[in-house]
Amino acid sequence: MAAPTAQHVSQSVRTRDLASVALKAATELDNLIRHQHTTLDGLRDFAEQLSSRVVRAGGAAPASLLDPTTTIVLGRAVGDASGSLPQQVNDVTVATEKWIVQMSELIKAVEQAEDIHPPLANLRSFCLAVSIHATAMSPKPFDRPDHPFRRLRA
Amino acid sequence: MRLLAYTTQRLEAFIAEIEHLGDSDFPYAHSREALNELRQLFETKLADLRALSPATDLGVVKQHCTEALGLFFDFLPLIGFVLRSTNVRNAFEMFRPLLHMAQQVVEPNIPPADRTTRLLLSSEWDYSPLTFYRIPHLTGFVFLGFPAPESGNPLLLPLAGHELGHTVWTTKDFETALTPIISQSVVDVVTARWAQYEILFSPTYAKEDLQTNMEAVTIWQIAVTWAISQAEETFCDFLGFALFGESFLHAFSYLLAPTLGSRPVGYPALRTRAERLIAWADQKGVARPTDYVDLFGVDLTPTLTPPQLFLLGVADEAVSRIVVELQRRAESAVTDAGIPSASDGEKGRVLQRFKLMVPAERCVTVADILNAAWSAYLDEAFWSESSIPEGRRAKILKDLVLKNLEVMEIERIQALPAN
Repeated sequence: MAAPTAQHVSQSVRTRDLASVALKAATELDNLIRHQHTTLDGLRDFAEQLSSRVVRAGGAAPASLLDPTTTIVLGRAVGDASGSLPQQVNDVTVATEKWIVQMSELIKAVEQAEDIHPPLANLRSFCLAVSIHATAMSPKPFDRPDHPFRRLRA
Repeated sequence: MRLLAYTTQRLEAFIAEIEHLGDSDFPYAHSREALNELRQLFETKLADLRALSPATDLGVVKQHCTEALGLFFDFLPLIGFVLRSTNVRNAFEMFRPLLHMAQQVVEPNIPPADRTTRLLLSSEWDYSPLTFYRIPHLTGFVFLGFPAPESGNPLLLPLAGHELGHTVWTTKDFETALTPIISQSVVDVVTARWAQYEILFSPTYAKEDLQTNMEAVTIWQIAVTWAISQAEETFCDFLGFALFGESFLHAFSYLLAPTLGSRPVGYPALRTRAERLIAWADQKGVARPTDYVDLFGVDLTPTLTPPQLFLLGVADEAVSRIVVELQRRAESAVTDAGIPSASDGEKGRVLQRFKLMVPAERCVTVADILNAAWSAYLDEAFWSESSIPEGRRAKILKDLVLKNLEVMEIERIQALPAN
C-alpha cells in the first residue's frame, strides 16, 4: 500500500467512528508489543482517516475551519503525547503528520518483514489518546434534555 | 479482571435479549433484519473482548469496555424501537408509501428494484416525531417514530419528510460540505462582535488569530457544532415542505405550536422555523394560512451563561446566512428523487373524491392526498350536509386517507411488470 500522506480533504469527522478506529489501531499495536499475531488493518485505516483530515501546511484553509472537532481531538491527543497542549492549529497538523509517518513506516516494516523501529508504546498511547478524546467529544445520552421528572444519571 | 468480566456479562445479556425479541411477530421483514444486524454488532464486540488477554495494556482494555458501554447506551433505545415497531398501534398503511419515499430520496440513482433502504416505523413514547439515523452498523436503515397517541394519524405523515431529511443529510454528507462554510461564518461573526467576545472570553490572542489559535478554536467550535445541528434541522424542515407542501406546514403546527417555552441550542427557535417555511412557501407560491406564524409563540432564551448565549447568537447568525443554500439542497434532493410536485389540480380532484367519501384513484403523489386531507380537515363545513356526526368526521377522514394510501399502493403493485 502507498504510504498515507497528508492531503487537503474537507471531511467531517464522526468522532465516534474515529474513536473506534483509533481503538482498533491501539489494540493491534498492543498485540504487536506483546509479540502476538495481529493484522494492521486497523492501523492502516486509522492512518488513512487521519490523512484525510489533516491539511498540508501552507495549503488551503486551516484544519480548524474544515473540521474543528477533529482538530480539537487531535490537539488533545498530541498534547497528551508531548506533555503540553499545542497552541496553534498548525502545530497540531505538523505533529499529526509525524504520527502518520510513523504509522506508515511501521506498516511498511511489518509488511516487508523488516526490523521495527518506531517506538510502539508511544504510538499505542497516541492512538489510545485519540480514541479517548474522540469518545469524550461524542454526543452522550446525558446530553439530551432531561425530562423534568426523570434523572438519567445513575 | 473484574471490569472485563462485567462488560462481557453485560454483552451476553444484551445478546440474549436480542435473541428473545427475535421471537416477536414482525409485520414486515425490516425490523427482524435490523435485530439481526444488531446481534452481529454485539457478538463482534464480545469477540473483541474475548480476544484480549490478561497481558493486554490496561488502557486498551478500559477503552474497549468504554466503547462497549457506549454501545449499550446507544443501542438499547433502538432495540426498544424495533420491539415497538410490532405494535398494532402503528398505522401500517403508512409503511409502504413512506418506504418508497425513503428509497427515492436516499437512493435516487439506484433503479427501484435494486434499492436497499429499509424502514422501521414505530409508535414512540416521546412527544415528537423522531428518527434514528447515521446508525453505525445499521447503514441503510431508516427508523421513523411517531408519538404514540398520533401514530395512527395519517395527517401527521408529512412530518416524516422532516425525519427523512436527517437520512438525506447523512447520505449526502452535507455536514462535510457545509462545515467549512459554517465555520467561516462563525469566525466572521465572532470577528464582527469582537468587542463583546473580548469582554466574555478575555482572549490572549488577536481576532486575526481566531482560525489558528487552539484556545480560540476550542471556544468557537461550540458555536459551529450548534450551527451545524440547527442547519440540519432547517434543511429537514425544507425537505419536509418540498416533499409535502402545505400539508407539512399544517402537520408541523398541529404537533408543535405554540412553543415549549425555550428552545434547545441545536434547533432554531420554533417561530424562526415557521418564518423560514412561510417565506419559502410565499416565494414558491404555495397556499398557506395567513396567520401561520402567529400560531407560534416566542421561544425564550434557554438558561445559559453569558458566554454560551454569545455563542448561541453566533450560531443563529451563521445559520441565517445559509438558509438559501439549504433550500436549494432540499429542492435538489426532491428533484433528484424524481418525486413529482404536489399540484392544486390533483389536490382538488382528490378532495372531490373525499367529498363522496371514497378514496381517489390514480393519485400522483402522497402529498396530493395529504394536502386534500388537510384541506378537508380544516374546513368546518366539510361533510356538513352528510349525516355523519360532527364528532366523528375527523376519524372517518383519517380512515379515508389510510384507505387512499392503500389504494395508491395497490395500484403501484398492479403497475409493476409481471415476472
